[in-house]
Amino acid sequence: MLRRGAFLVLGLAGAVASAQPAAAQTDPLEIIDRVDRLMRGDSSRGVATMEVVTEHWEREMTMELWSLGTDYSLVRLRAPRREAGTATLMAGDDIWNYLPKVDRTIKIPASMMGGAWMGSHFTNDDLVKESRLIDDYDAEIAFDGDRDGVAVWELRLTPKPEAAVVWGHMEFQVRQRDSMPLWARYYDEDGELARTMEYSAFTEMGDRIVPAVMDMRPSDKPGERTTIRYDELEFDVDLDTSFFSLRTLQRGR
Amino acid sequence: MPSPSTPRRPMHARVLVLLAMRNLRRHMRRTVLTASAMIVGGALLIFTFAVADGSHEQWIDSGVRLGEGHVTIERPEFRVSRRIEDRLPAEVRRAAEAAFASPEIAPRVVATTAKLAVTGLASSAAGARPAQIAAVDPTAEAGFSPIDDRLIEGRYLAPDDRLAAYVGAELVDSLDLRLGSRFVVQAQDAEREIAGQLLRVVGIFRTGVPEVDQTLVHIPLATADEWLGSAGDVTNVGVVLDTSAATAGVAARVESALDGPISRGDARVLGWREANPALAAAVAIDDFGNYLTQGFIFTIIAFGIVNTVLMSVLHRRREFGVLRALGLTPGQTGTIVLIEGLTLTAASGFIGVGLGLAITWHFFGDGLDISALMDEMTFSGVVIEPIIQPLMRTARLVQVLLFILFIGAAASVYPALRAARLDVTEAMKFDR
Repeated sequence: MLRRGAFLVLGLAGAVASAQPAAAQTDPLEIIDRVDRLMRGDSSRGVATMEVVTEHWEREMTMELWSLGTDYSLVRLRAPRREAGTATLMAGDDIWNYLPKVDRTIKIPASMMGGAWMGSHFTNDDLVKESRLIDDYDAEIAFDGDRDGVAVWELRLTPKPEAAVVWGHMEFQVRQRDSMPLWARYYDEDGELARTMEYSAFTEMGDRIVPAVMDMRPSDKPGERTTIRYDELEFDVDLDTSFFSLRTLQRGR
Repeated sequence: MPSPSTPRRPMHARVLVLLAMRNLRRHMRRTVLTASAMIVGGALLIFTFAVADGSHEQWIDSGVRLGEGHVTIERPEFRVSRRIEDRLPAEVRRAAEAAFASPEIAPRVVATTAKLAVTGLASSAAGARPAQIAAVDPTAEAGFSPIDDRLIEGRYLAPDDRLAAYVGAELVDSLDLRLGSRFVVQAQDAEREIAGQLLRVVGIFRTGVPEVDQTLVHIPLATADEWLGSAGDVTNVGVVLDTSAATAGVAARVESALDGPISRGDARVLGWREANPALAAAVAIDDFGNYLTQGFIFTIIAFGIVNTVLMSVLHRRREFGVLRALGLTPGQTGTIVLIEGLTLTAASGFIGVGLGLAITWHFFGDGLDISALMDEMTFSGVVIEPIIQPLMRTARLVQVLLFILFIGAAASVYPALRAARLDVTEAMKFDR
C-alpha cells in the first residue's frame, strides 16, 4: 500500500539519519511527506530475510532486493536453495514473477493481485500500489505527545469519499525525534483492527538509520506473522531503468 | 364403360379394410385389451416428453438469463480472455441491436441485454476474492436477468446509481461485507492498466448457484465507464427469445446481418448451446435417457401387440385359408393383418396421445410441483425449479405420432408375414 513511504517491504530505501531537530510540526500532510522523503532513497540494494509464520507452516527466505525511485523494484530469492532464482519484478503497476524451475515468466493478472506474495501476509497489491496516501486519504493528527517517554505523532488517515481503498481508516505512529515510523494499523469499516505493521531495530545501514525489522500481523489470524529483517542495505547505488527488465528478471542467480 | 382393372383395385382395398375392421370388432375384448396398452403407453409418452421438454426449456431459460441470452454476440477472443480489450466495437453493437429490432426477429424477442463483463478482483479489509464483474444497464438487466428477483437484502441497481454494487451472498460473506459496506474492485482497464474502483453494496442476492453467488457483482454501466474508460462499450449483446427452439433461426439471421464484422473477426454469434455447452450436454443426456426409457416401454408394448395380432392370425388359419381359396393373394391376406394391426395401434395410440395431452394440461397445466421429491438444485450455472411447466412442441407431437405408427407397423409385420405364408391346403385340411 505504502511503497513510497517504505512502510512496506520492497520500496524500503531507508531514511537519512536526519540531524534536523523535530520542530513542532503540526501539519499532518507535511509529516507524511517528510517520513516519505526520509525513508526513500533514489535507489537501493539490500539483502533481507523474510520469515513467514502461519498456523500450518513456517518458512524463511533470503532475498536480494533492488529499487529505483518509486516505480521499479526487483526481488530475487537466494535461499532456500530449491527456490533460489525465483524473482519478482515490479514496474509501475505491473508485477511479473519468474520461476526458474520451469523457466517461465508470469505476469500477475488483476484477479491475482490480492493473492499472497510468496506465501507471506503481504499481497501482490501491497507491493505495487504506490503510495497515494495524500491523494487517497484525509489526514489529521490524532495525538501529539509522549508515549512511553517518547515524543510521537499519531496520525489518523480517513479515506476520501470515493477513494478506491479497502480500509475504513489507518493509523500511524511516527517518532518525532527522527520521523521514524513505529507502527501502522489498518482498520476495517467497523473500526476493527485488520492488520498491524510494526517497525523496530532502528539501525544504521548505508548512511542512514532505518527500521531493520518489519513485522506484519493479521488480526484475524492470531499467531501468524510475516517478519522482514534487513541484513544489508545500501543507498544511491548505480542503477538505471534498463536494469528493471524482464531480461534481468530471468537472469537467475 | 368401366375399364377392366382400375375400379377393381379400390374395391379390393375397401374389402380388405372391411375384413380387417370386422376382425377387430369380432374380438372386442382382445382389441380393447391391446388398445389399452397402447393408450396408456401413448399417454405416458406424451406426459413424459411434455414434462421433460418443459423442464429443459426452464433449464435453458434460467441458464441463458443468468448468462448472455439464447443468442449472444461477442468478439471471438472474448470467451477465453474475458478481458476488456476484447469488447465489441460500437458499430457492431449497433448493428446487432438493429438486427434484434428487425421485423423478422423482433416478435420472438422477450428481452435484450448489453453488458460489459470482466474478470477482476474484489477486496475489502477482510481479504480479496476473484470476481466476475458485470456492468449493466439497471433497467434493461432487471427485465433480462432473474438475478434481481433473487434479492435477499437491499435492492437491485437503480438507473441513477453510481458507486453501487449488487453482490452475490457468498462473496459478501467471504469479504465480510454487508449492506452499505465499501469494497474495492480492480481489473484491467481499456488502457491495459490495473484500475481500482470503490463500490458500496446496495443489494445482496443468492441464486443458489455457488459459482454465481461466490463471484458475481453487478454494477451500473456508467460506473464501469468511469472506472475502466470503456466509453459505453460492452463485451456482450444478448437476447432472450420466446422459445429456445427459435435459437438457430435467430442466430442465423443475426449472423447474416453482421456479415461484415464477422468476416473481419470483430464479432461472433453464439447460440446458447455454444455459449453454455455444459447445459446443452445436460439437456442432451436427459433427452437420451428419456428416449431409452420410452424405447424400452414401447418395445414391451410392441411385443404385446405382436402377441395378440399373431394369436388372432393363428386362430384364424382356416378363415385365411378360405379367403385364399376365394382368390385372395398371399399379399392381400398379409395386408388384411397389417391393416388390422396398424389400425389398432394407430387409433389407440392417437387416443392415448389425446388423453395424455388432456391429462397433462388438465392436471398440471399450471405446473407440476415436484418439490416433495427434490429441493431446488443447481448444475452448470442453472437453477432447477421444483415446479415444472409442461411443454409440447409441434415437432415433438409429430415425432411421437410417427413413433407410435412405426411401433404399430413394426409389431404387425411378423403376424402379416405369417398370414401371407399360410399354406392353403394345410389350413383347410383340419376343422378347428
